[in-house]
Amino acid sequence: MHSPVTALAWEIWKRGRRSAWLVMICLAFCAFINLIIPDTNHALFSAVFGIAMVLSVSFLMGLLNCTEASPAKEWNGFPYRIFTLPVPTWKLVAVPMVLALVTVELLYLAWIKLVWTHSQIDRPLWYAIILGAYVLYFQTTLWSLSEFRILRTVVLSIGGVSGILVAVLPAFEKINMVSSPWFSEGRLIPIVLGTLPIAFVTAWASVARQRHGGGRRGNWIKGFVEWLVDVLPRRTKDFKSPAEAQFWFEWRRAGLLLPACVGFALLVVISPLTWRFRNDQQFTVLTLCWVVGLPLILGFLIGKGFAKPDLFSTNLNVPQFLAVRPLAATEFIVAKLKVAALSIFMTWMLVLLFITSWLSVWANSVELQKMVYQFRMFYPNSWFVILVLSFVGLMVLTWRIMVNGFWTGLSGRRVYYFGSIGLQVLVPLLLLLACAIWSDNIDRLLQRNPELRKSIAVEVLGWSFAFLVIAKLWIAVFSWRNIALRHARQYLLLWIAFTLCFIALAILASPPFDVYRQAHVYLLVALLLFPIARMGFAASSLEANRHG
Amino acid sequence: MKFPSPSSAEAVVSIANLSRRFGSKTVLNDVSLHVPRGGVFGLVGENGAGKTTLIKHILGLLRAELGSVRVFDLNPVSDPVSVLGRIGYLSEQPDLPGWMCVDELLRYSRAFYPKWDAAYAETLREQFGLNPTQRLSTLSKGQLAKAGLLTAQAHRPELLLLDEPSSGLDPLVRRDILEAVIRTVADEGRTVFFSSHLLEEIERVSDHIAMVHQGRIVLCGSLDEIKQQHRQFTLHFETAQAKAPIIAGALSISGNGKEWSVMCNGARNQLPEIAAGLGARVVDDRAPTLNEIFVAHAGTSISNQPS
Repeated sequence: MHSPVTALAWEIWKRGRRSAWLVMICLAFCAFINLIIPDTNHALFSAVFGIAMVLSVSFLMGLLNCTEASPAKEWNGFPYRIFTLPVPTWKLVAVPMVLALVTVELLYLAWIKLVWTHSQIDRPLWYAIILGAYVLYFQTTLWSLSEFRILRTVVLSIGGVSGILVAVLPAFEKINMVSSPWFSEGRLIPIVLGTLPIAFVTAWASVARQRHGGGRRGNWIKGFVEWLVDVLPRRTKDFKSPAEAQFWFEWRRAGLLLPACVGFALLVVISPLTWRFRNDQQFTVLTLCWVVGLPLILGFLIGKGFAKPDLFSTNLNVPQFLAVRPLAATEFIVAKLKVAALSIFMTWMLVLLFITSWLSVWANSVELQKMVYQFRMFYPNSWFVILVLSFVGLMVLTWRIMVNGFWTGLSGRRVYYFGSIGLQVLVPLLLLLACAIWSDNIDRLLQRNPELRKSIAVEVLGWSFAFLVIAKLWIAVFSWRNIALRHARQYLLLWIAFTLCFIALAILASPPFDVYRQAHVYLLVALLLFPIARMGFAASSLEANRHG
Repeated sequence: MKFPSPSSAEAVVSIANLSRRFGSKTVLNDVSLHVPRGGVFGLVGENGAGKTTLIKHILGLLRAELGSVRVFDLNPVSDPVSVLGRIGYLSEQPDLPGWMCVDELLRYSRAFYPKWDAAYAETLREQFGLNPTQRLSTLSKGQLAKAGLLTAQAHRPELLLLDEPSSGLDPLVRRDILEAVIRTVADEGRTVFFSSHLLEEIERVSDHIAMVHQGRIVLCGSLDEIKQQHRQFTLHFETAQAKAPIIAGALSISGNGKEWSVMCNGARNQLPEIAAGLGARVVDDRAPTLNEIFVAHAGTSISNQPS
């Protein structure tokens, strides 16, 4: 490498080469599919190709964003270490920008020439220009707003949506919906091209300012939290046991996060909305669903962090400070489980308090009362028990969501941790996507064969759940074999108690006229809800992490 | 010449044929070591020699891939509670949680060690000048090291493990740490395992030392024995030598012209005779410093490697 420009370009490539290979594999795969499928089926695959193309461009932007996070410096912008190189700032900024522009245009060209060969792309030049402009604005935003992380996310989101709107503007001209000469490609292209130097100059000015010590901001949220922790009373009593000390440690780290987040959302988002729409009956029902779902959604998100040895660290290894404590791995897990339980109990009490005060003071609950009345008619003798059991069930489900990732999160292996998150997010997304893409075909199939619905609902699901129950219990026997009998006995009692609670709920909630005989599916689900096998693996995962 | 190692029977730490690889790199290669009860055992080696990896095996933070590690005759991986309860540990960068204040750190640590001496902890805290209400994230590097040393010392561990504790610290903190090491041994005859690449420090406080170089123990024994066995000779040749003379058994030869320095390991009596055979005479014979011994051994090890 004879010039700084080559060296900088090489570094960007070297750092993102894995993502680049992924993009190329994705492109090659789609090109191969495009080659082998018959002409009549291209329409069927166009949605898949579209998603793959968007994903590949997103990946490419990820690898070309040229930002670095440095937790020690609280920096997440243009790579700080590059500032010491004897290269002028305009060149430091221009290299990643030009590289990003060229790469994204080449990728776009490759998609057009290799994958979209059977369909005519309207305005290929316009899309090429808007894509290039979007990449440059993306980089400019990342670098210019490096000290405003939340604002940056908001600006990027708004910019993304605006970019899509601008991209489709010429389509309005063609279909004559909103006719205006300003929507024509002829006018839009010079405008977009004319703004690109502004993006470059903005990025240049921002990076130059950062290079000379500007663009820093104190983290006021962190400062506020630290101040709050300092003014709150501290523990002054000694701990009775190591387990109690560890519980305190975990609680201080993560215990209040879920209640605080749910409380914040209820107070700042939901409460004003419920007041604004206090006369809307439908809104009350819908909001109630959201309020009940809130701890589950936030529990899922926070649970991903809570499953790691340290919630606030990106390092998955057990911190050395904890690893050298004379405490068995199972005790660490027990402390985390207890903290999750207390945190969730507090959260649901908050939710209950909010629902009670909202529904009794300012909500219009006419529609809801009708539904409750119907529910009571449907289950005249057991409605109250079902309500109580459902509430307990929701708490246990939130707890399950928080803790069921322990076995991957505590293992210290990024592949397991991110792989499991990827599966949990991607599989449902892909299923939904597949259903959306092939919804017409599925509808036709179900109309042709009405019995299919029953067989899917009862037989396929029934057998699948039965298999899962057997597998769960079988694996549990193996996963718990190295765990102290005392802990195994305690957890088994918990499992039996809560599983009986779910079974009772399944029996009581089964419809009185069970046409499709779904009761056994409910029972099998009840047996699956409370985790047992994974909890057994959690301790061995943590041990493996702790002992390298 | 090999130095006698303490027998495994009286050892606090017994490591036998331990090897460890990270990917394709061999970090520890057939390491055998016995740390005797009582006294200070110094582990020296250059950066990346494998000292921290060895200490992590003693703590049970790494499982032995090949060979075995016994601490207090227990396996630190299968029985971490019994082993870690008797060890005090301080690392180069004490991984202390920044959100805790000093007082909370002491209370939290105390819960894990039944032998925690609260009065001793308070004495140390005052001596180190640590404010109990100060958050750890606001402490300086030296103060953090002192806080780490406090928690490692306050339960009066049978084995105090110090992994480059004074690296990057100012002389005052280093002095505090070394004093604590000496006090630990003087007080109750406990054991200190002290790793460092600052050889002067090791030389000041250690009774036994082991030198680790590129994953191998190149030297192990009592410091006095090691210093006694090694000699640094200065040879004077009648005529200037164009290249270094070849002397069998020499660990290192350096110099130019007529004056050459030769480091020998146990060849004290034979060298004058060998020198005479080469046409030189011994003009100086002195005990080398630990630093010189280490450099000589590390250099030998490098030159013995196949190219």
